[in-house]
Amino acid sequence: MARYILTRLAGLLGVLVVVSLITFALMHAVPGGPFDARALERQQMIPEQIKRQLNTKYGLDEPIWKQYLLFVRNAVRLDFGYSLAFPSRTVVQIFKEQWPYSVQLGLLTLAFSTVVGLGLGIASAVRPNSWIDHAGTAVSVFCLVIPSFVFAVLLQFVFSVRLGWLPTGGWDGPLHWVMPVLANSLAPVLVLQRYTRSSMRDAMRAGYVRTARAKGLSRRRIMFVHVFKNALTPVLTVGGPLAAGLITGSFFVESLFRIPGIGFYFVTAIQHRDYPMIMATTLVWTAVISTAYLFTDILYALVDPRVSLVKEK
Amino acid sequence: MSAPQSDETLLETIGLTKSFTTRRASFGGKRVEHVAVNRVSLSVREGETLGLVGESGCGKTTLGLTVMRLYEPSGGRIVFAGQDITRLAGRALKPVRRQMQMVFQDPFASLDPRLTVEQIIGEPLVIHGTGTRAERATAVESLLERVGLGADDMHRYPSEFSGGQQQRIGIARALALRPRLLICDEPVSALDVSVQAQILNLLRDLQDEFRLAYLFISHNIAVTAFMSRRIGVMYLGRVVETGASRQIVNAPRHPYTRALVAAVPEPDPSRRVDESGVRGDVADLAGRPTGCSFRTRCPLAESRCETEEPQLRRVDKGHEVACHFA
Amino acid sequence: MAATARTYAQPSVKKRPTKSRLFWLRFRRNRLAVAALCFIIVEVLLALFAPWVAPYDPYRGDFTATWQTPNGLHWLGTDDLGRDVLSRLIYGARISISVGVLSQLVIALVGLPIGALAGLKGGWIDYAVMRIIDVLSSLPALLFYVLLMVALGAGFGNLILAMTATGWIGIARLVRGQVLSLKETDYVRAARAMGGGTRHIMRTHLLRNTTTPVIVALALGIPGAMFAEAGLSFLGVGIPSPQASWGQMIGMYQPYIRTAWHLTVFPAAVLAVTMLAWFLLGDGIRDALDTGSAARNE
Repeated sequence: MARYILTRLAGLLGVLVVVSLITFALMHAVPGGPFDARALERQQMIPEQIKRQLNTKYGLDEPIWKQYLLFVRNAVRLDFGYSLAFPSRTVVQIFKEQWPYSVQLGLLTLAFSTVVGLGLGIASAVRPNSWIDHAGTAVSVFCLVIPSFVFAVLLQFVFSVRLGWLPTGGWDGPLHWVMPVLANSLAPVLVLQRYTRSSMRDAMRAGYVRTARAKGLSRRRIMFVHVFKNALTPVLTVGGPLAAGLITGSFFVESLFRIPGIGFYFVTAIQHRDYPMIMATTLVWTAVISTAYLFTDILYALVDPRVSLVKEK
Repeated sequence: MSAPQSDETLLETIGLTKSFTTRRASFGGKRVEHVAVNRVSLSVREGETLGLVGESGCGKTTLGLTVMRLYEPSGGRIVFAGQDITRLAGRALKPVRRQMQMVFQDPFASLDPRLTVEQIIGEPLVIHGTGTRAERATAVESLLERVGLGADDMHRYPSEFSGGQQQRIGIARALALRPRLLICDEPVSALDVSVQAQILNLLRDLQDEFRLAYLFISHNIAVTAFMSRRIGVMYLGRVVETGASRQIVNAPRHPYTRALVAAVPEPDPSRRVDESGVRGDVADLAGRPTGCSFRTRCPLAESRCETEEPQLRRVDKGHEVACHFA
Repeated sequence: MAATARTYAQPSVKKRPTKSRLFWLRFRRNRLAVAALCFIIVEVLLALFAPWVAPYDPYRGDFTATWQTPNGLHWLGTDDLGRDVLSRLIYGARISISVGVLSQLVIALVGLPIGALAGLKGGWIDYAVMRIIDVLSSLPALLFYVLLMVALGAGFGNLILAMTATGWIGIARLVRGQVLSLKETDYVRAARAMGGGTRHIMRTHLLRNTTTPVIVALALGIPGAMFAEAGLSFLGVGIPSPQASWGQMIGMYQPYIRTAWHLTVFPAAVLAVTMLAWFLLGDGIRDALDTGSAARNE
């Protein structure tokens, strides 16, 4: 077990190194430095002299490999430097102050989509080909094909513009939560519903369930003792990464509803060529999601006695 | 028995060995070696059938695939029609392949579901560039008729046929190149019992007509005895007894062969006594016992069997057994 | 014995439907898929003949008619520069459809040979390909697209390039898996026993048996690529401004949803319906292809 975790941790480290290299390389392939992009936006030219001073201030005049090493050394100490788009704050400060919004949105979404996805999945597995099964299929097709930002816009149109029930943006209370959570739930509902349904159906077809039925156990007892326990364990494997993906925020939903989370800041960072912010976000996201996969695998092994991570014969 | 015999040896294996190495799943795992075929020496004469029996996992299929050069031999030699083909490769192997074909256990799995029967049976002809398109079609037609199917089946797909018919298609494909040796790997064990006899009879008829030699692999000693003049019995990759079919069935000498013979269903219940005393299951290839590999299940086993591996030795005319007590 | 048995069963050999006919017969049974196909055909025609169909020039603004809500002259209204929304939507279809289809073609062109090579040759090639796939798939896809587009710059060609950069791994993985399992089938063994070389086996057995899953994956990849294009354009790193893209229109005018709802709602609706149609079409193709032998071969 310890060896397995070590192997996986090494893999995680490797992925992070590669990801940081790719990000770093890509960011430096960008035509025009960060100041050009912003100058262009304000339609003004920066004198060469000032540009050089700015580049020196932010370390952009060093050789690339030196910049990378510097970046790695600082990243290990969780020091990503100052944001270029918001020069008064460090990247870490931005993370500290803004991430809670993303986490809140993510957890609300997770709670909502777990109820809906699991509920629909279980209901359609218990009553295959009933109206609820068809409804479940329709919901999953909807979630699959409608981009979250399209859904968000349509929600805003109906509930804010036409009906005037909900605010179009901001994050000041439960009324503000409704539409972002709905729009953010498409992917998780889809995944949870599909996974639960197929996993439940497999469990219900299994030999031990048929045996339990033959023994004359009540339907309720069969469901709770035999089906749920076996069917919901595999759902865990998708639950972990899903939760990780959610608490890291969303580009679309956060910027559409002007929720000041990490996703919102990332989109801003992209538009402003904010290297430190972009690289930090990419690294943090990859790390969070990869760690979630690792934890899920370990947790899965602990819950399911049949899974052994180390194959020793 | 059926075909005219000659003494000319067509296929010979000399100490043929095939082993597989697998790596343990975890990081930096050890390599584990499994010897599936262990120093096997056999010979098949022109126009003759050599039967090969043993339980599943004894290495008989691996032996067939190694002889076909679909697996790389790990040791020993394969001699076909006087030519050592153990290390032949690519172009040099192609003419040998014409003379040696295979019939597989699962007829459906052995036919590409996306090809028509014409394409399937014609495939070997295409590979060897035989004839024009029209000539190949005629050849396929006559092959189909020869194995008991009709010309109107040419444009159908394998899934439209029954298991027995699929196996006929497989046999027709194997015959397309007019081979001298056919390796039949459990050709009837996937079929219904009623169909098995038809396919076995077809194989025997074809043997007479094309002067084919068969290496007939089966787990069923009764079927093997019906088909073969001589039989080899395999256990855990080793040949433990060879002899004429009569000798093997009527006077088995190895305790394992006795168990196989005793396991054949006997219509008269008063005669159904299994007195072989064999117990347990086939040992794991990786955990092969020292000495005689059969000793863990053998009723006769003594301390000598633990240390000394019995070699094949002659006990009668053409009858060899690898057991200290035979 | 079998020869006599089949004298009374005389199937009409001549009239056996061809494979494509069988496919069509099965596809036709799926009403939703047929409806989706009709919709797509109409949309493709509109996109192809956009210059003749569109009522206005999508790029020329009319400064006397800005921010107009839908009316008799401009059925779907005009934007901040007085450009006709309907015309821009029709030209947007060109972008959406061509990104969807073209990206899948390029992905197939890259992914298929890599996957086949890895599956066939094994060894270090396979190892290297699989490690690259591991790393690429550990990156969040959308994030990676965004980074690439920022680095490459917005534009149609770069969009296809960015999608191919990660998109090929799906097809490569699929093809590799197929090849690996097909390699172990008895019919490939039989072909080798006959003396068939790698080229023959590739052509006769592997390609033929991989086409179905590849076609299905590509067909279902089209709406995925459309989504990516719309998303990137929405974020402002996809299709740059004077060109019309649905996602870009949504992104640009969403802040004005209270005052000019038509500028975001129409592109959003068109995008949603288009993606649904392409998905249903892909689904229908899968159902019509995935029967009988293919399913048993799995």
